[in-house]
Amino acid sequence: MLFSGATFLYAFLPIVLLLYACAPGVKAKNYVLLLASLVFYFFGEPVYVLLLIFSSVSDWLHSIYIEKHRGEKKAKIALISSIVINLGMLGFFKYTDFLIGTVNSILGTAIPKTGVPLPIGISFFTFQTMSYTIDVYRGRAHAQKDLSTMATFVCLFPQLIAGPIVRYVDVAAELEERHHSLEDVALGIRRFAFGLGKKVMIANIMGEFTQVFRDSSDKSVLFFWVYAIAYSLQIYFDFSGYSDMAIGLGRIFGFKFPENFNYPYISKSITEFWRRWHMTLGGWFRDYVYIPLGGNRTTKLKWLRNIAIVWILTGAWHGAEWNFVLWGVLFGVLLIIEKLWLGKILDKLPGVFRHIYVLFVVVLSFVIFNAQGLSGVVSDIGGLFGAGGIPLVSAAAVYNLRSYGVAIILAVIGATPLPKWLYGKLHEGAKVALEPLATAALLIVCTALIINGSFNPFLYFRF
Amino acid sequence: MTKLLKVKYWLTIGVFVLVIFGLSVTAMFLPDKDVSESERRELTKMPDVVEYSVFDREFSEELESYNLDQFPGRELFRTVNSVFRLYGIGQMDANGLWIKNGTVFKTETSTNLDQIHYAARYYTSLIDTYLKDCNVYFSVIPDKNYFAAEENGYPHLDYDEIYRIMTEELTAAQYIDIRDTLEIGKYYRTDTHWRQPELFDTVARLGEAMGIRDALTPADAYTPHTLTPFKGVYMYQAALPIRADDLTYLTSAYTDSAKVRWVDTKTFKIVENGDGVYTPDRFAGTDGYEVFLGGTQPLIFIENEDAKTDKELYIFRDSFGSSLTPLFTGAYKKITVIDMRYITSAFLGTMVDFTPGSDVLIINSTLTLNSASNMR
Repeated sequence: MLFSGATFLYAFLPIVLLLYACAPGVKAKNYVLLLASLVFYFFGEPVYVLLLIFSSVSDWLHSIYIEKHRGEKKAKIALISSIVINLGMLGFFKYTDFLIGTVNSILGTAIPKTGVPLPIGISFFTFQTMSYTIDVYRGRAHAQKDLSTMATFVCLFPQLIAGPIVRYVDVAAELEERHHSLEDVALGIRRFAFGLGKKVMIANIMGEFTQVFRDSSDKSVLFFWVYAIAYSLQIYFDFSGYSDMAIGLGRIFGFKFPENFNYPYISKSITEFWRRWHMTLGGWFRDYVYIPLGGNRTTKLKWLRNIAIVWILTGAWHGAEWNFVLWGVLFGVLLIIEKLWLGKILDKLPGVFRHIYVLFVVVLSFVIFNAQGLSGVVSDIGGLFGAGGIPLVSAAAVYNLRSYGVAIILAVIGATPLPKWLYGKLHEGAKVALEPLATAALLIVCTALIINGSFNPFLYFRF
Repeated sequence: MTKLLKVKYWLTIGVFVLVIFGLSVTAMFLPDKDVSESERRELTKMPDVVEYSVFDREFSEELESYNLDQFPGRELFRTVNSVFRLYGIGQMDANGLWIKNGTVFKTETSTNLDQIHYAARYYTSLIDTYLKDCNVYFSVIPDKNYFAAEENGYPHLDYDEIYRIMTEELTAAQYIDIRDTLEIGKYYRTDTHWRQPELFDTVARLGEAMGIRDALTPADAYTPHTLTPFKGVYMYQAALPIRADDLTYLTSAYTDSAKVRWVDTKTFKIVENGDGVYTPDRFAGTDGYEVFLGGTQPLIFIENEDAKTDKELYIFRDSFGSSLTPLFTGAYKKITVIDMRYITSAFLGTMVDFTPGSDVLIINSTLTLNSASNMR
């Protein structure tokens, strides 16, 4: 079920809100959320809902065992067991066919692929459950004794399938006791509506452009560049829109989920970009991979190794294809270069050049990200620079630029803090009328776009 | 919390509840519709749970289709979508349609040259098989974009190539160029087709080339009959507040006296249709253009004892031919109207006897030629 689908918005959500409002006390509300979350996941992945339940039970048992044997070797064994199970699930469902394909292409073998479909959101919920067990082992969190509460955390539908990656410690207190205020509900609704708008009114329209580009036989250098920009905007508004919806829903239900994006396209270095892009994933790798490996408090060589490991894993986390690994490696290399010497040079450059540098790298990186395998990387990156003898400009490029130009410009402006800054300048009295009106307008226009059956995938569902 | 903030929060919650719960409740009580007139398709029905296994993912997909199709105020939301795209974010088209001076056009982005070559080969083969002893003519009807797309910066078919391929490769028939007899005002504003009362120049051009110009019924011998409002296929697809067209069909003594037989779609037998060349009762249906020759018909025989000649005409046509054909009724004793998209060429000989020495007019629109493989 998609947040931007009619079934979610006009059937699932109102029923859940109604049941949630009627449920007395946190415990009952948690039951409502758990049941709703299982139904939510069941609608998208009927079979794999069992996997989700297994994951919840497994980490619940492991964490209780770890807490019981804290400080003993048994706790460590239980932790390793939990990690092996989580990574085993992720590895089996996400990477088995990738590995078989790679072996086949290298050795010329014909090992048949499993063809097992990827459970939606597995990368997110396995990371959440792993962080929980690790935190219990480290003593940063108490093991949750109540299975239903634990399952509510793992399955919580607002953030279940596309993040943000919520750690147990972020919501542990709220799972036990939370308050629902007028302000939280209203701001949650506002956040949800704006997220929906980002997804449906911007990301989907950018997605239409990228689809038109892919389908066109009239490619040109201009078309490639506009595609690259449109896709960079699509992925940002798609993912950050989803995060906004998740955070907004969380707030309606009394949870405060961590922020996931902070205007990444205004960054002046790649290091800064990754502090602003998918912040919960970056934080996860920092706390559970980079720092345990020694972080930067080690020899230079090991430090560089640590960065390399994190970025290869980050790339692979995004998808079981070599272009994702390459994408991660690209950022790893750039971060290393920035940390070693480029950062100092960048600091001396005027801001505009630093912005251009970041945007150029990021746009190129997303072309790699969205390519069909490594051969797709070569042809798409080549297309940006006129490889294959394509013309500079084509009729299709001009037409589609005219057709999508306003949307692209609006999306570029929307990716900066400018709209928020302008809104902040408004008198509070104006906001009283404007905010409810904007919320209503967003819901109606988004519904219209959804009803019309426009392009509506969520890019991050496949991760 | 200030009073102003409180008001703002309550209003935000209020509009959310109104929209989400209001539409949900409306959807719950609104009876389901069978068809969407605007999109000319059946709407998805509520999936029956018992038809799906517990772990069947298709159920949720069907449910989403159902919710989208049966959404309350669906037409209004489709209009909001089109207005947002065209006027909100300045897109060149919405749902693949664009509007200029109140006329709706459909964007045609890719010319399938393979299909054009196929059409030329297909008709060449048909002529070799059935029409060797006939006088075969062909013409190509330009679609509306021919007259407006380029000057307005919209993509369109590669007309030069289409006409070049057809004239160079379909040499077994004599080409009749009708392009200069047409202009954008001769087409419906809301539909893909041309207006019958505007076709006299075109019919004269065709008649001249086919040697029957003097036998054609003059314009002043026709009586116009206007049906309104005619909401063409583009009007529905565009989902925009556009003024509807009028549909006018022309009758004469010859169209009135013509006997029409066609294939009964239930029994697949040739039957007399009873209505003649016009079927005005179909105007109220999903496609008002079906007034002309009953709309989609694979094979029609029009006989007219009062015709000015004893000649026979075979028209290989698409839907444009439906409104063109009645204007030939006075000039031919028998007209056989064939739409090869619905008849396999291998069986054509079993259904139609081609009289040697007859006239044959192959006339298709550029749109039909661009998907010519529909003709088999």
